[in-house]
Amino acid sequence: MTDYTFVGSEIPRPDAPDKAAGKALFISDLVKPGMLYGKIKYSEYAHARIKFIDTSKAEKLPGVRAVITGYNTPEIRIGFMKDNFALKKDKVRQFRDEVAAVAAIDPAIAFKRGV
Amino acid sequence: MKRVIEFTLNGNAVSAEVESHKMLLEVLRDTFELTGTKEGCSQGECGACTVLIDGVSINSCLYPVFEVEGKSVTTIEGLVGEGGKLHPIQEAFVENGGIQCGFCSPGMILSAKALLDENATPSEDEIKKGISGNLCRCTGYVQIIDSIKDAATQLSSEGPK
Repeated sequence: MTDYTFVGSEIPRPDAPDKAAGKALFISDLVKPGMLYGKIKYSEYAHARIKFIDTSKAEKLPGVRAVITGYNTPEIRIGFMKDNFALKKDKVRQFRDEVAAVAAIDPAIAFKRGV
Repeated sequence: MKRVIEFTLNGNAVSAEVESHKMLLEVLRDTFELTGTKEGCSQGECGACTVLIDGVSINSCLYPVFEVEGKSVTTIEGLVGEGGKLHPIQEAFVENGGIQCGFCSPGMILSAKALLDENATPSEDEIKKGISGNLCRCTGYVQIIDSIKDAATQLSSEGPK
C-alpha cells in the first residue's frame, strides 16, 4: 500500500480564512472606475407576441448609458445547440424571458428604467 | 433628505452623510466599503446581511440607516483582530468545513457570535434556532453546526473575551 501525501488527509481550504474574515471579494463586491450597472427587463407573460418595445423613456433618463433590445443588437445565440437568443424578438416563450436591458451609472437608475 | 449620522463601527467612532431612504447594508458596503456584509435577498429572509447592533443580530438590508445614530455596529470585518488574526468563531468555521462558497459565512458567523454571547453552552437545538435566520445553499448546515459547537468549546476554554 502506497503512502499518500494528500489522499486521506485533511487539507485546509485555502480560501476559507478570507471568506471568514469578510475579505474575499465576490462579483458584487467589485467596484471599478466608471463602471455601469445593468438591469434586465423580463417578460411578465409566459407566452406572448412582442408587438413593440418602447425604450424612449429609458433612453431619456439622465445617467442611462445604453438601452438594448434584440432589435438593436447583433443576434447572440445561446444555450444548448444555440437554439435560444440572449434578447428575445417576435415572441416570448416563458415567464421571465429577457426582453431588454439597461446600463446606467448607478443601480437605482438602472432599476428604475429596467422597470 | 441627507443627514450626517454618527455611530460606532467596529469599535471606531465614525460619521457619514447619508440619504434618508438608504438601508444600513448599502451604507456599510458603499460608503464604508465594508463589502464583507452581503446582499442576498433585500427582504430580510436570507440573513446574508446580518450585522450586530449593540450586540443584537439584525438584517441590515431592512434597517434604515438613520436608526443607527449613536449605536454600535459590528460587521464581520470587526471580528478580525490585530494583524489579521481570526476570531475563534471564524477560526472554527475555517477548521470544521463550515465555509464552502462563503457567501452566507459572514452572516452565519455573526449570528453565531450573537448566540454564543448570550448562551455560551448552547444545545444543538439552540444552535439551530440561533442560525435559523441564515440560509446556506452549500453545506447542508451540518458543518456549520459543528463549527459553532467547536467555537463554543474554544471560547469557554479561553475564558471571557
